Amino acid sequence: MKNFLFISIFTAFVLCGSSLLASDTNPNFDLNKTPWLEGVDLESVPKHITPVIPMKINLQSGEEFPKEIVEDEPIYVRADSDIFFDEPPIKDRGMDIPNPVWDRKPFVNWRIIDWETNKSVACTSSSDMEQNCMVVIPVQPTSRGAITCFVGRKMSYDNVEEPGRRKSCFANSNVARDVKVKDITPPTCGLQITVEGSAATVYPVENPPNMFPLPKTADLIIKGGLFNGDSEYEEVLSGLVLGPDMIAPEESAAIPVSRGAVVKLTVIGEDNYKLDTSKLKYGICAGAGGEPAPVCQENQPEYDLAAIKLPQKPYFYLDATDVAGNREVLFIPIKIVK
Amino acid sequence: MKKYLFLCLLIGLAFSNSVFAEAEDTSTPFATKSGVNAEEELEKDAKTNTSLVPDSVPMSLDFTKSDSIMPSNFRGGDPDKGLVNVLEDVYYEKHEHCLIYEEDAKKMTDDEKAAKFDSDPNITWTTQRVDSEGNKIDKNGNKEGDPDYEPVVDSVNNNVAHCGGYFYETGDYQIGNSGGRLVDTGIGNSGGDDGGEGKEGQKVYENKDAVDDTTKTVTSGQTMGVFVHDCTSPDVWIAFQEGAGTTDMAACKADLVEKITKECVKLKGRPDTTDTSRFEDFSLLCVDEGKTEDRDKAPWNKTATLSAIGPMFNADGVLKASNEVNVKSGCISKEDQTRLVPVSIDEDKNKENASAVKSVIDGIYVRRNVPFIFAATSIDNGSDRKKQMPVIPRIEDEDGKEIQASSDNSYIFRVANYPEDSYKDQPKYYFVAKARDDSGNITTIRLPLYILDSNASFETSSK
Repeated sequence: MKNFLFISIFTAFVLCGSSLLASDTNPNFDLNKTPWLEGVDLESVPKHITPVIPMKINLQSGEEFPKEIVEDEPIYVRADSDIFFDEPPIKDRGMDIPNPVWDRKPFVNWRIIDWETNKSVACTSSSDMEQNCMVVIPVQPTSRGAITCFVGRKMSYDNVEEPGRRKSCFANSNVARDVKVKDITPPTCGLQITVEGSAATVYPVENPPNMFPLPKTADLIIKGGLFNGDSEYEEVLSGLVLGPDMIAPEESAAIPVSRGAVVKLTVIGEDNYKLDTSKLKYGICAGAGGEPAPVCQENQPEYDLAAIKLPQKPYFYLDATDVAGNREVLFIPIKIVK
Repeated sequence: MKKYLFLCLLIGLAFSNSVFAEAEDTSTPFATKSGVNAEEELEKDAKTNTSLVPDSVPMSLDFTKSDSIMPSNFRGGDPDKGLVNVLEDVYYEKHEHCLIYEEDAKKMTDDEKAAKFDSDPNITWTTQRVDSEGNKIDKNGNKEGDPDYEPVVDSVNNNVAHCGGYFYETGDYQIGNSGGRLVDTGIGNSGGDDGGEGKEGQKVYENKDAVDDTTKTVTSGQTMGVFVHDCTSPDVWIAFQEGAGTTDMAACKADLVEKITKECVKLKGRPDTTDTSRFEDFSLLCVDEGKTEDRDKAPWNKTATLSAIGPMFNADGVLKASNEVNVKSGCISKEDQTRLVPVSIDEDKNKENASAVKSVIDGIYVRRNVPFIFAATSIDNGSDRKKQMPVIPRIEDEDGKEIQASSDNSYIFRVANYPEDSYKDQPKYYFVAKARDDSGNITTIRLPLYILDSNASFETSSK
């Protein structure tokens, strides 16, 4: 029994050691934990010369970089790095780089990462700027983002193994500036109004998109058979200010309903970032503009108009606010018909 | 026996220890920074950051193994330039790796406060055409900074460390990979919940302040130079024109060259044969890469489309448009991966394509005693089909001896040789043309030239 125990322990140690050795030299990865490495057969640290040059992203103005930047507002940034200068690096991780020479201009890419969705987009500019400068326009609000700059530059150096020959590689310089992007766009929600199977929808669409500075403007889309019996009917009204005082015009957006109609209201649309659903309100109010004055209970799936004491000028209304506090209030006139 | 077992145990322990030690050595964290004044930068960082998590780390980037990756001296290239030589229209995969893709963030730093990753990596692949100096160029070949330059951002944010695709245009490229990952440096108060659900169930970092937070984005990037080699034979257009009643054939030829070259460049080699009335004055023979669905095939599958329209491609002199056929390309050199498109009806020398060619055209038909000219032009995908390439058209006899043109560059034959059965003792002639691009791909045309015994004008009615 004792012999058996010793042999077992001995075998276990040997097997354990062998498996460790195997995992260290085998570039296979645990794809359950690092699925992005599927198909990769490289070491994580390159052994050849490929210098990484430090970089900082600053404002072109030299002012302190803000903790929070504003959606759609251009921000003029600059990448400070020796990769843009005349002298290439002479060392990389303890390895000497003899007689280094830049072969090409820096190859620059700017991107913004939104860590909430893990998506990044490229920044491009047709403006004439220095090579290390960029105007970044963040179009997606996020509580966690990063402005990044990646620069690669081809260089060559003496091949010490073959005197008289040269070798080439790329030096790289890259860094991130973590930022928040503040949402300044009100929601673009609308209402679908359904009466006895016939529907009308009224909703705004930000136009032009990503406008800065405020106010944001929108087109108001008005469509549906409830207006005139034509299910293909659609009208677009331009130039509304997107915000807490959007009044659909009576002449083109009045919803014709009979006094005894049962009206179903559905909220459509969304916010460009996140809607605060706890503040969402809709229903029927008296008059348009300012704070809505409801004439019945809010947020009901159906309204029996016969049971409501309608004001002289009744409106459907929608009051939506996003998590950043941007508010949209939309008033749609009601036209009582026989 | 006891001593034997004890010895085995000792050996086992010793072996395991060495393995553990070795494992520890190979997982040594990346702690040094590279570049000019690295030590100064490290000192600066130490003063401003309490974390030793670097701002960026180096990256490995390469193509995955493929038989279509060519040697560093491919087609006489300079191996010292460090470019990866690849072929147009072939599928390639690239892969990359760096410390921010690892499972464990501790590999980046000696910091014992246990940095950990706070997100999946964000990974983007960028492909950019450049000129020989590294200037970005757009799809029209305009350089960054030129007034007509249209920025092209060919980037794929796929968030994985490999990416496959094709290079459909030849030339110089720079492939870039941009990686980033949130790292919790473990310095300061990183407590608090992660926030709620946002759009599409994404994690929301609502309760963390971007700057006071302990997390930061660490980046990694790498660039690779690639040269995409041309494996497509050049497009060739040949126009034939009779000069009956015209005295200045030289001027006609110059006009014809200009006319077809302009049109060839404008249409990027793909002829428009829908309006046959345009071909009353001249006949056009075209060899081009073909319709969209026929283009950009892998080099070993490449074909060219042959088409012919005009009255000089049939014995009746009728203006008609031929069908189009695909001519298979052959390999000139496996080492250089150069291709040949042969347009010939010789069954012995062009067995694979002879009958297909013959279904489109079986010869050039001219009338005896009537002077004619021909004009040739060629464009190549290697230069974005923007500039004319040299073509060498000529007429030769069956021994390969060139028939000289007249002083005005026209030809005139006095004796008929067609139909061949009726003129067995008459010499045979061939129209021959050859175009070669800068990469060594070739298009050749060799078709019989028939001299008709007819004084009637060519009919121009369409069939």
